[in-house]
Amino acid sequence: METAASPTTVPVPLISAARVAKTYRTVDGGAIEALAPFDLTVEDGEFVCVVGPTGCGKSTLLRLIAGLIEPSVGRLTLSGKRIAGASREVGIVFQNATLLPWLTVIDNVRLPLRVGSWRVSNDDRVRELLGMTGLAGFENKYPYELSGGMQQRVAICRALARDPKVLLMDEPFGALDALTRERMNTELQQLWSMSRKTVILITHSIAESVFLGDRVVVMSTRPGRIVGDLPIALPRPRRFETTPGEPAYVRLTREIRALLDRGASAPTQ
Amino acid sequence: MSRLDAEDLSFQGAGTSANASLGAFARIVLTIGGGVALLLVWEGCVDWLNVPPYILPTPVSVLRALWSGLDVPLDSPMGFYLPIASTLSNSVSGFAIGALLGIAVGSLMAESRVVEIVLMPYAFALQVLPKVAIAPLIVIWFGFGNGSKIAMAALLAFFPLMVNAFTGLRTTEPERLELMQALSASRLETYRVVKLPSAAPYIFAGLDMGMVYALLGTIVAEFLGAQQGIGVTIVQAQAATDVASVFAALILLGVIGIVLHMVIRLCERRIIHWTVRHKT
Amino acid sequence: MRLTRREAIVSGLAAATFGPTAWAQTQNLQTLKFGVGLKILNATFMNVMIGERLGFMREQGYHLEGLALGSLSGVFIGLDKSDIQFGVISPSIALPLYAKGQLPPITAFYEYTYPYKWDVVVKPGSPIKSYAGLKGKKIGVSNLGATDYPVTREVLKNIHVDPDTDVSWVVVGEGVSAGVALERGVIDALAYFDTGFGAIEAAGMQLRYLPRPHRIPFIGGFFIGARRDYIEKNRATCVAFGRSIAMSTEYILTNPAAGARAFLAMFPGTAPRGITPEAAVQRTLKVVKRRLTLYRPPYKGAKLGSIQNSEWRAEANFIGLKLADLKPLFTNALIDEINDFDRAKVIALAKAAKS
Repeated sequence: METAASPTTVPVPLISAARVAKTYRTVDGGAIEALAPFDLTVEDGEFVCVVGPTGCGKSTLLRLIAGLIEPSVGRLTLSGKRIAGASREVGIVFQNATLLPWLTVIDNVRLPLRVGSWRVSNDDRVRELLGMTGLAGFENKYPYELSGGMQQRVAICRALARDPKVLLMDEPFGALDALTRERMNTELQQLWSMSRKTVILITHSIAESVFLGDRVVVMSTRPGRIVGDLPIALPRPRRFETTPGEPAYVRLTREIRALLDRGASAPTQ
Repeated sequence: MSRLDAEDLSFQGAGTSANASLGAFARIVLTIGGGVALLLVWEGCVDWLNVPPYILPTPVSVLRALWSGLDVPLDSPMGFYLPIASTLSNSVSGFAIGALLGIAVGSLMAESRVVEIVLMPYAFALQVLPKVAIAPLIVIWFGFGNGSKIAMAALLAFFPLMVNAFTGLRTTEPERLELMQALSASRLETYRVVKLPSAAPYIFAGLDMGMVYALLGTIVAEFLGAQQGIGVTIVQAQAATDVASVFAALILLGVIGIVLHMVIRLCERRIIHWTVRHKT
Repeated sequence: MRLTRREAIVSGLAAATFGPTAWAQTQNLQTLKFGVGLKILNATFMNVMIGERLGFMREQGYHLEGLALGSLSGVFIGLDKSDIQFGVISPSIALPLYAKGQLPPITAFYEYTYPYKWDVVVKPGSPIKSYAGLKGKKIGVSNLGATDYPVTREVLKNIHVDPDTDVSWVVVGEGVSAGVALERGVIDALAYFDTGFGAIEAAGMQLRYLPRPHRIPFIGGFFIGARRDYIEKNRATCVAFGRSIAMSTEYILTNPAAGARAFLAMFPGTAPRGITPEAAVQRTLKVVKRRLTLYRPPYKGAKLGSIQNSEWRAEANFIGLKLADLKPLFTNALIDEINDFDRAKVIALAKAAKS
């Protein structure tokens, strides 16, 4: 609890969703409810993990916050302002690193500083980020010369290049092998504790969500809805050698699994 | 029946493994050796059957004709160099114009639904048209000089580039587009930074095709009346019943085609290095 | 290394593009462009072209450039657009356009090749001895659009051989492939024209010409034409060009080998590669030997280049056009001036040249 990022002052939520829902129109005029109406608040500096099965709308949730899509109903705000379009306060990391293979590592990280309306040339920040993520010396390599984990580090640096308040991560380590994934989790925790960004991380790994999050939001499918919101009061820094052995960790993992199972067996509409 | 199938399969399997075990050197030797053997058979048949040279010249006479056009000063009227320079400069100019226009129109179609709806049916209808048939018109519109050769080359180079640029731009990975959207990149930035490089492999495939077509277009226009060029050399040799020289000119054309193809491939490997190494 | 290669290519290109014109400019000569309806300039244009080589053009202040425009309609377009000053006119193409009012305002002022150039040949050992003997035989033509076909039909009709029922026609393609068809017995006889036969003979095949019947359509002449307004404004230039052709004609008819040599010096590519210059001359002469006799008018007392109304009338009748006025199509107004040159001097020059 002492490491949780919720100060005791009056909380002005960084992100707030009130009765937000997303419905897609299909070609034949029908509608698919991707996200049922939900409420959600995320405090400044919080690390929130969203866990759920494929098709539960967790990616839709992320894209709503990123301003890539608009909610069908409800009010969604960032720092009190309604989200309309992409914002410089939000950095996003996709499941595949989505690096541009024709750019070197450093040019990939610089990309957010070279396009759009917040163009700045701040190479110090770029180099600092590369240093923090262990990419110093790899500046002039091309993505295809890097391992999957390294590529995802570059993607994280790129998401942080504009120094956003919020870092959105869409199953960033899903494509990595188990060992690399654990190392990346540890590094991300370290990076977060140094930068104190607000992080919303989408994952389908219960272990990952409990290991990383201050909170775990559990989602279920058809239509996507939030079925649970659990605080994770495990001490930080968490370690793969010790944390999974703690009784609280085991209990939380079980609880989330139960929520997911219940969500999966819920009657469909 | 099933036994036969099995035997067929095993035979195929043995064949492929034998091919795979051949080294690069052995392959080159086989290719060249096969070619030489073919030429020897050709030479022997022509000599033995007493085929007149206006029906089929011997390989030796073809080589002699080839050499007679190469073993001269660069500016000799009997040499192949002036025709090569003329054909090459016209095809390359036409190729450059056609490729640029093709990429531009393909880009507009990929970027704008309206342009796509307006142009696409006509573009594809034109593409099916045998453009060789409108070559005489091109000659009338663009004159009898280099203009019509360049225009014909440009016309033939245009379509593969337009289609490939369009396809390449439309198949840009959606995640990359989402990334640019998240960065609030402008349309032009997205086009320049993401779409165009993403489409580059398609565009290079189009360039490869377009270059060969441009060469073809120049030759076709030269056939219709020109003062200089390999097409003219071929028509001249035909008129003089010099079949050996026709073959020699065709060999030259083949070599030029291969060289242009290799130049494009070299540029491709240099410019879009990531796709080549991606595969390995 | 790189630089020299590039320089070589650039200079080669420059020579290809600007060579002749640049040369003419240094000589202070006016460049005249003459367009032909073929894909290449061949030896049939010997009398039109070699005046450039022999100095007949230069001494009158001109430089002549020949352009292969691919088709006779291309020549009309070239003349109409003033891309060329002079071009080949064939009545068979000009008259139908003229009848429809679509002919550009061009006029022929010199006839450089006179009728009659078509023949029917057989293999030397063939039993066919005359046109009448073609009954029931297969006759080859290059293609059904070429003049060879209707002309031969007309000739057969005149000797009461029905071209539709008495003979059969086979398309055998141009030049040597037509000769091969005859040699292989695919056809019994081949209807073609003088230099076409020449090319077949030059390739080493033997042909026997059937004696021409008396009534043949006296058509097929070739003319030099220009835009009417050009002739009016540049009469002296037209006369100079016509005179060069007339002088060259005298030269060639005096010493054909020297004429062929001059032509080959201008167009070396018209001979096969890798043969000696002397063999090239002999080959060229073999191809054009029948054409040379058509350079001089077959009419008693007619001056070189003079144009007969009867030929144009015959052409019009042949293609079934009833035309009242053929006057705008040709003029003899320049012929006297064109022929005003020292014939003896040209003949002496030709005799002095290597034969």
